[in-house]
Amino acid sequence: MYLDLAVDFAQEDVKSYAELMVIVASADGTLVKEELAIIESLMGRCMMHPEMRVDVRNQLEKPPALDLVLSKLNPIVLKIALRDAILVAAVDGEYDDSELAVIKTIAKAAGVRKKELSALFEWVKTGWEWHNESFQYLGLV
Amino acid sequence: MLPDTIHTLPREERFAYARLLAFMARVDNELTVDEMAMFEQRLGTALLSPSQRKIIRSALKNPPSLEECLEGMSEEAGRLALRDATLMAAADGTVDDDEREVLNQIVVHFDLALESVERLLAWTKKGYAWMQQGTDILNEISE
Repeated sequence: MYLDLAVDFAQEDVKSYAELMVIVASADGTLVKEELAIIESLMGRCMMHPEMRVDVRNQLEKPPALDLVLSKLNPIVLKIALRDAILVAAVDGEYDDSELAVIKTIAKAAGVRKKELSALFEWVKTGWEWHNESFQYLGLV
Repeated sequence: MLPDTIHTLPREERFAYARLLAFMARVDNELTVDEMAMFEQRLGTALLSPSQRKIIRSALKNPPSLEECLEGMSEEAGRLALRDATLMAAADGTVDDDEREVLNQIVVHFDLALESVERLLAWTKKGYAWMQQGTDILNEISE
Protein backbone atom coordinates (compact mmCIF):
# COMPACT_ATOMS: atom_id res chain seq x y z
CA MET A 1 0.00 0.00 0.00
CA TYR A 2 1.21 3.49 -0.67
CA LEU A 3 -0.08 6.57 1.08
CA ASP A 4 2.09 9.62 0.62
CA LEU A 5 2.74 11.98 3.52
CA ALA A 6 1.31 14.82 1.40
CA VAL A 7 -2.20 13.38 1.80
CA ASP A 8 -2.15 14.48 5.44
CA PHE A 9 -1.31 18.13 4.81
CA ALA A 10 -3.50 20.66 6.57
CA GLN A 11 -5.35 22.86 4.06
CA GLU A 12 -3.35 25.93 5.12
CA ASP A 13 -0.12 24.07 4.35
CA VAL A 14 -1.30 22.71 1.02
CA LYS A 15 -1.44 26.11 -0.64
CA SER A 16 2.04 27.17 0.47
CA TYR A 17 3.38 23.76 -0.59
CA ALA A 18 1.89 24.23 -4.09
CA GLU A 19 3.21 27.80 -4.23
CA LEU A 20 6.72 26.45 -3.62
CA MET A 21 6.27 24.11 -6.60
CA VAL A 22 5.21 27.10 -8.71
CA ILE A 23 8.31 29.03 -7.61
CA VAL A 24 10.60 26.15 -8.61
CA ALA A 25 8.86 25.59 -11.96
CA SER A 26 9.03 29.25 -12.90
CA ALA A 27 12.56 29.84 -11.58
CA ASP A 28 14.18 29.51 -15.01
CA GLY A 29 11.74 31.98 -16.55
CA THR A 30 9.92 29.46 -18.71
CA LEU A 31 7.04 27.17 -17.90
CA VAL A 32 6.75 24.04 -19.99
CA LYS A 33 3.76 21.71 -20.21
CA GLU A 34 5.60 18.99 -18.27
CA GLU A 35 5.97 21.39 -15.34
CA LEU A 36 2.30 22.29 -15.45
CA ALA A 37 1.39 18.59 -15.53
CA ILE A 38 3.53 17.73 -12.51
CA ILE A 39 2.20 20.69 -10.49
CA GLU A 40 -1.37 19.63 -11.30
CA SER A 41 -0.44 16.07 -10.38
CA LEU A 42 1.02 17.10 -7.01
CA MET A 43 -1.98 19.32 -6.24
CA GLY A 44 -4.18 16.34 -7.08
CA ARG A 45 -2.23 14.05 -4.77
CA CYS A 46 -2.80 16.49 -1.89
CA MET A 47 -6.47 16.45 -2.85
CA MET A 48 -6.39 20.22 -2.85
CA HIS A 49 -9.72 21.99 -3.09
CA PRO A 50 -10.51 22.96 -6.74
CA GLU A 51 -10.85 26.67 -5.85
CA MET A 52 -7.48 26.67 -4.16
CA ARG A 53 -5.99 25.12 -7.30
CA VAL A 54 -7.34 28.06 -9.30
CA ASP A 55 -5.51 30.45 -6.95
CA VAL A 56 -2.28 28.54 -7.45
CA ARG A 57 -2.68 28.48 -11.26
CA ASN A 58 -3.14 32.23 -11.18
CA GLN A 59 0.29 32.52 -9.57
CA LEU A 60 2.08 30.72 -12.38
CA GLU A 61 2.67 33.99 -14.21
CA LYS A 62 3.67 35.88 -11.09
CA PRO A 63 4.91 33.55 -8.36
CA PRO A 64 5.00 34.68 -4.72
CA ALA A 65 8.28 35.54 -2.96
CA LEU A 66 10.21 32.47 -1.83
CA ASP A 67 11.04 33.86 1.63
CA LEU A 68 7.43 34.63 2.33
CA VAL A 69 6.25 31.12 1.42
CA LEU A 70 9.09 29.44 3.33
CA SER A 71 8.21 31.35 6.49
CA LYS A 72 4.68 29.94 6.42
CA LEU A 73 5.59 26.25 6.24
CA ASN A 74 6.22 23.91 9.15
CA PRO A 75 9.42 21.76 9.08
CA ILE A 76 7.69 18.53 8.04
CA VAL A 77 5.89 20.08 5.08
CA LEU A 78 9.11 21.86 4.11
CA LYS A 79 10.97 18.54 3.83
CA ILE A 80 8.23 17.01 1.69
CA ALA A 81 8.18 20.18 -0.42
CA LEU A 82 11.94 19.89 -0.87
CA ARG A 83 11.59 16.31 -2.16
CA ASP A 84 8.84 17.31 -4.59
CA ALA A 85 10.63 20.49 -5.65
CA ILE A 86 13.45 18.29 -6.96
CA LEU A 87 10.89 16.28 -8.96
CA VAL A 88 9.45 19.49 -10.42
CA ALA A 89 12.92 20.80 -11.32
CA ALA A 90 13.83 17.50 -12.98
CA VAL A 91 10.70 17.14 -15.06
CA ASP A 92 11.87 19.12 -18.08
CA GLY A 93 14.96 16.97 -18.36
CA GLU A 94 17.62 19.12 -16.73
CA TYR A 95 18.29 21.09 -13.57
CA ASP A 96 18.67 24.76 -14.32
CA ASP A 97 20.98 26.83 -12.07
CA SER A 98 18.08 29.02 -10.98
CA GLU A 99 16.05 25.93 -10.01
CA LEU A 100 19.00 24.56 -8.06
CA ALA A 101 19.35 27.85 -6.22
CA VAL A 102 15.70 27.65 -5.10
CA ILE A 103 16.13 24.01 -4.06
CA LYS A 104 19.21 24.89 -1.97
CA THR A 105 17.28 27.69 -0.27
CA ILE A 106 14.43 25.30 0.58
CA ALA A 107 16.95 22.73 1.84
CA LYS A 108 18.57 25.33 4.09
CA ALA A 109 15.20 26.38 5.49
CA ALA A 110 14.33 22.71 6.11
CA GLY A 111 17.64 22.04 7.86
CA VAL A 112 18.66 19.46 5.26
CA ARG A 113 22.36 18.84 4.87
CA LYS A 114 24.30 18.42 1.63
CA LYS A 115 24.57 14.63 1.97
CA GLU A 116 20.83 14.27 2.55
CA LEU A 117 20.09 16.56 -0.36
CA SER A 118 22.28 14.37 -2.58
CA ALA A 119 20.28 11.33 -1.45
CA LEU A 120 17.08 13.04 -2.57
CA PHE A 121 18.57 13.88 -5.97
CA GLU A 122 19.66 10.26 -6.32
CA TRP A 123 16.16 9.12 -5.33
CA VAL A 124 14.63 11.23 -8.09
CA LYS A 125 17.03 9.70 -10.61
CA THR A 126 16.06 6.18 -9.53
CA GLY A 127 12.38 7.05 -9.81
CA TRP A 128 12.88 8.46 -13.26
CA GLU A 129 14.49 5.21 -14.36
CA TRP A 130 11.67 3.21 -12.79
CA HIS A 131 9.05 5.28 -14.56
CA ASN A 132 10.78 4.95 -17.93
CA GLU A 133 10.64 1.17 -17.59
CA SER A 134 6.87 1.39 -17.95
CA PHE A 135 7.20 2.79 -21.47
CA GLN A 136 9.28 -0.22 -22.42
CA TYR A 137 6.73 -2.64 -20.95
CA LEU A 138 3.94 -0.83 -22.78
CA GLY A 139 5.78 -0.75 -26.09
CA LEU A 140 5.67 3.05 -26.12
CA VAL A 141 9.37 3.72 -26.58
CA MET B 1 4.20 12.42 -10.42
CA LEU B 2 7.04 11.71 -12.80
CA PRO B 3 7.48 12.90 -16.39
CA ASP B 4 4.82 11.33 -18.52
CA THR B 5 3.30 11.52 -21.97
CA ILE B 6 -0.38 11.69 -21.02
CA HIS B 7 -0.44 15.47 -21.38
CA THR B 8 0.72 15.13 -24.99
CA LEU B 9 -2.38 13.13 -26.01
CA PRO B 10 -5.31 14.89 -27.69
CA ARG B 11 -7.88 16.28 -25.27
CA GLU B 12 -10.53 13.64 -25.95
CA GLU B 13 -7.96 10.88 -25.42
CA ARG B 14 -6.97 12.33 -22.04
CA PHE B 15 -10.64 12.41 -21.12
CA ALA B 16 -11.09 8.76 -22.16
CA TYR B 17 -8.00 7.84 -20.13
CA ALA B 18 -9.40 9.54 -17.02
CA ARG B 19 -12.82 7.93 -17.52
CA LEU B 20 -11.25 4.50 -17.49
CA LEU B 21 -9.45 5.33 -14.25
CA ALA B 22 -12.77 6.48 -12.74
CA PHE B 23 -14.24 3.13 -13.71
CA MET B 24 -11.26 1.34 -12.16
CA ALA B 25 -11.58 3.28 -8.93
CA ARG B 26 -15.08 1.89 -8.42
CA VAL B 27 -14.53 -1.73 -9.44
CA ASP B 28 -14.39 -3.07 -5.89
CA ASN B 29 -17.17 -0.68 -4.77
CA GLU B 30 -14.81 0.98 -2.32
CA LEU B 31 -12.89 4.18 -2.76
CA THR B 32 -10.11 4.49 -0.19
CA VAL B 33 -8.09 7.64 0.52
CA ASP B 34 -5.03 6.15 -1.17
CA GLU B 35 -7.02 5.28 -4.30
CA MET B 36 -8.58 8.73 -4.35
CA ALA B 37 -5.18 10.41 -3.96
CA MET B 38 -3.76 8.31 -6.80
CA PHE B 39 -6.83 9.03 -8.94
CA GLU B 40 -6.56 12.81 -8.36
CA GLN B 41 -2.84 12.66 -9.04
CA ARG B 42 -3.37 10.98 -12.41
CA LEU B 43 -6.24 13.35 -13.22
CA GLY B 44 -3.83 16.25 -12.63
CA THR B 45 -1.24 14.75 -14.96
CA ALA B 46 -3.87 14.53 -17.72
CA LEU B 47 -4.29 18.34 -17.64
CA LEU B 48 -8.04 18.16 -18.06
CA SER B 49 -10.14 21.30 -18.11
CA PRO B 50 -12.09 22.09 -14.91
CA SER B 51 -15.37 21.10 -16.64
CA GLN B 52 -13.90 17.77 -17.77
CA ARG B 53 -12.70 17.12 -14.23
CA LYS B 54 -16.18 17.74 -12.95
CA ILE B 55 -17.58 15.15 -15.37
CA ILE B 56 -14.89 12.66 -14.42
CA ARG B 57 -15.52 13.16 -10.70
CA SER B 58 -19.22 12.55 -11.26
CA ALA B 59 -18.25 9.38 -13.15
CA LEU B 60 -16.84 8.18 -9.84
CA LYS B 61 -20.36 8.23 -8.42
CA ASN B 62 -21.93 6.88 -11.57
CA PRO B 63 -19.24 4.93 -13.43
CA PRO B 64 -19.71 4.15 -17.13
CA SER B 65 -19.39 0.55 -18.31
CA LEU B 66 -15.95 -0.77 -19.22
CA GLU B 67 -17.09 -1.17 -22.83
CA GLU B 68 -18.08 2.50 -22.96
CA CYS B 69 -14.70 3.49 -21.54
CA LEU B 70 -12.74 1.42 -24.04
CA GLU B 71 -14.80 2.29 -27.09
CA GLY B 72 -12.77 4.38 -29.52
CA MET B 73 -9.81 4.70 -27.17
CA SER B 74 -6.45 4.93 -28.94
CA GLU B 75 -3.69 2.38 -28.43
CA GLU B 76 -1.44 4.83 -26.60
CA ALA B 77 -4.14 6.13 -24.25
CA GLY B 78 -5.24 2.55 -23.61
CA ARG B 79 -1.75 1.37 -22.73
CA LEU B 80 -1.13 4.31 -20.39
CA ALA B 81 -4.56 3.78 -18.82
CA LEU B 82 -3.75 0.10 -18.27
CA ARG B 83 -0.53 1.05 -16.48
CA ASP B 84 -2.21 3.67 -14.31
CA ALA B 85 -5.23 1.46 -13.63
CA THR B 86 -2.72 -1.06 -12.27
CA LEU B 87 -1.18 1.63 -10.04
CA MET B 88 -4.66 2.53 -8.79
CA ALA B 89 -5.73 -1.06 -8.23
CA ALA B 90 -2.65 -1.64 -6.08
CA ALA B 91 -2.89 1.66 -4.19
CA ASP B 92 -4.88 0.16 -1.31
CA GLY B 93 -2.40 -2.67 -0.88
CA THR B 94 -4.30 -5.46 -2.62
CA VAL B 95 -5.46 -6.19 -6.13
CA ASP B 96 -8.67 -8.15 -5.78
CA ASP B 97 -10.08 -10.59 -8.32
CA ASP B 98 -12.53 -8.07 -9.81
CA GLU B 99 -9.75 -5.53 -10.37
CA ARG B 100 -7.49 -8.16 -11.90
CA GLU B 101 -10.30 -9.24 -14.18
CA VAL B 102 -10.77 -5.67 -15.45
CA LEU B 103 -7.03 -5.29 -16.05
CA ASN B 104 -7.07 -8.54 -18.04
CA GLN B 105 -10.04 -7.31 -20.09
CA ILE B 106 -8.12 -4.15 -20.99
CA VAL B 107 -5.16 -6.30 -22.03
CA VAL B 108 -7.39 -8.42 -24.27
CA HIS B 109 -9.13 -5.36 -25.74
CA PHE B 110 -5.82 -3.84 -26.82
CA ASP B 111 -4.40 -7.19 -27.89
CA LEU B 112 -1.45 -6.89 -25.51
CA ALA B 113 0.74 -9.74 -24.26
CA LEU B 114 -1.10 -11.86 -21.68
CA GLU B 115 1.66 -11.41 -19.12
CA SER B 116 1.27 -7.61 -19.28
CA VAL B 117 -0.72 -7.39 -16.04
CA GLU B 118 1.78 -9.43 -14.04
CA ARG B 119 4.62 -7.37 -15.47
CA LEU B 120 2.89 -4.10 -14.59
CA LEU B 121 2.06 -5.33 -11.10
CA ALA B 122 5.74 -6.12 -10.55
CA TRP B 123 6.61 -2.66 -11.91
CA THR B 124 4.03 -1.08 -9.58
CA LYS B 125 5.48 -2.90 -6.58
CA LYS B 126 8.92 -1.60 -7.47
CA GLY B 127 7.52 1.94 -7.77
CA TYR B 128 5.80 1.84 -4.42
CA ALA B 129 9.05 0.64 -2.88
CA TRP B 130 10.79 3.61 -4.53
CA MET B 131 8.19 6.02 -3.12
CA GLN B 132 8.68 4.49 0.32
CA GLN B 133 12.43 5.08 -0.01
CA GLY B 134 11.67 8.76 -0.54
CA THR B 135 9.67 8.78 2.67
CA ASP B 136 12.46 6.92 4.47
CA ILE B 137 15.00 9.53 3.40
CA LEU B 138 12.73 12.27 4.78
CA ASN B 139 12.27 10.37 8.02
CA GLU B 140 16.02 9.99 8.43
CA ILE B 141 16.41 13.73 7.99
CA SER B 142 13.87 14.29 10.75
CA GLU B 143 15.77 12.11 13.21
